[in-house]
Amino acid sequence: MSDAPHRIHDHAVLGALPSAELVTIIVDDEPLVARSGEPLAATLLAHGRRICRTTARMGEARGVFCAVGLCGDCAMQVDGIPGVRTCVTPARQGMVVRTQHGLGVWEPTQPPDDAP
Amino acid sequence: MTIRAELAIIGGGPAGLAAAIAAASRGVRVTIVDAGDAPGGATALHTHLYPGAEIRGYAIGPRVWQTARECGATLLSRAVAWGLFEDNSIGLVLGRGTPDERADMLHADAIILATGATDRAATFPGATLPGVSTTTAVLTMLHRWRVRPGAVALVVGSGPAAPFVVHALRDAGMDVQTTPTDDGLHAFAGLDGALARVETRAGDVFACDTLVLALGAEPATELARMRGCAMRWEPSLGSHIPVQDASGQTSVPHLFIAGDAAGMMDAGYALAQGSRAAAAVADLLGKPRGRAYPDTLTIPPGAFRAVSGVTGAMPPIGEPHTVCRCEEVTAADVDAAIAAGARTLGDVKRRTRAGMGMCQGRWCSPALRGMLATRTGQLPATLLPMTARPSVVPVPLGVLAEMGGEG
Repeated sequence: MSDAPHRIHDHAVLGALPSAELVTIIVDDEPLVARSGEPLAATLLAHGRRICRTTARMGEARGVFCAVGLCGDCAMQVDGIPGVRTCVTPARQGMVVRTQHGLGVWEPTQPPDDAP
Repeated sequence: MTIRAELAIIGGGPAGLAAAIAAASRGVRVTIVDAGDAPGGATALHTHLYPGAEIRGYAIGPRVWQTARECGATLLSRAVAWGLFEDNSIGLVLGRGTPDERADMLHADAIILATGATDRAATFPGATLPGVSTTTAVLTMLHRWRVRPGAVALVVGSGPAAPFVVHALRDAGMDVQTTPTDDGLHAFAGLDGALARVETRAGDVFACDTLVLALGAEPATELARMRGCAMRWEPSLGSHIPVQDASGQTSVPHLFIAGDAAGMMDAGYALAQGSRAAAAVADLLGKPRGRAYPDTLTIPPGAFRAVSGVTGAMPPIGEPHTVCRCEEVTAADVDAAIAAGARTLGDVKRRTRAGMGMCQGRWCSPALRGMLATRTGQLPATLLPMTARPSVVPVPLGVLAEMGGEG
């Protein structure tokens, strides 16, 4: 069971949350438990992290706005690549996620190993 | 690799799935392109019972897809259409967001656009704060992601989704309050930089970490406009929709539209219109008639249909309210462009960059139209949407560059 305080474990209509493989992602150097394959944005919200990036022009904080890949507010640096829409990017073991500032920095890392 | 079909259906919600049944059951080779992990479209987010059909929203997609599959239709999930071209070819991204992400082309003899609708944004101060989102977003978080976005929600607006998003938030264990309009709202951040409080013009103060915009939705017509469909203003929606005949045929031959994208705004109507468009396609392709259609789910229309002409409130002249979220263009920037002579959405776009960002004007166009109408006296009907150009969704250049196959 993950330690994510915002996870809905039991829903009045949908029932119990099905079990899932758990993986660890690193968000701003902090390890977080994720359900394998869930959108990164879901993992962040499950752990109460609402800020994804700050904007280029005015330095304003943005978070998940549309949740379906159509607005870009949830974009973060993922495995060194900026502008990755976390609401449509599945979480995988070892993914490295960083809060993005402006257009971000391009510093791609090796792809994360898929843990057995 | 190029994918070929006789009928390509863009969108796997009720309209697209019903179309797939009607066409496939008459022998049309059908491929459905759907962005979701599973079909159902907007209904996949709903936990409520649809009156008269006695089915919960999330069960509609699997039920109707089951029938479509039995009729021989093919479904591409996690597939996003980014362009629609003159030879009826469709640019696709497959496996979006995964390491297998790749681009491809789909060629079809006929196309049905069943792309649904996009929620409306708002422009009040603080509307861009983390914690502010749309009804689609909140339902996605609660029902698909199984996470609460916070503890205390404020639902803003009287759009059609407002009543059942209030119930959905409560069912998920959140505190919920409502306020009927976004006009005069001001949202404030807390110490962590995310939403903490909202004040209304009347002086009401809501402590909340979640704000849900329920301001209606716009038909998603980007692909239709890219392909050059004639558009018309639909007053009951406050949106432009493609000109269409009784079977959903647009002004472009062999291109049809059905469901929310056609302005239906109702799952029951969407099922019926999808079937009708597909029947027209089957006739067009010369397929034999005479077989009864398999039992497609029927939902009595009107259960959740509501006038969707609610729009976000317009910002006062010259204010720093953010209008284009992607490019951070403010109302003051737009007003300066209008003062300098901008008269169309395209004019404003070219002068301010509004609409040039990642969303390609999806979220700001209604506000730009409203501002132009209120500042210059033009009718909203005459303020056409921005020209839609490829791609309508973000696609990594590397993914496009690796696309192979014939030219």
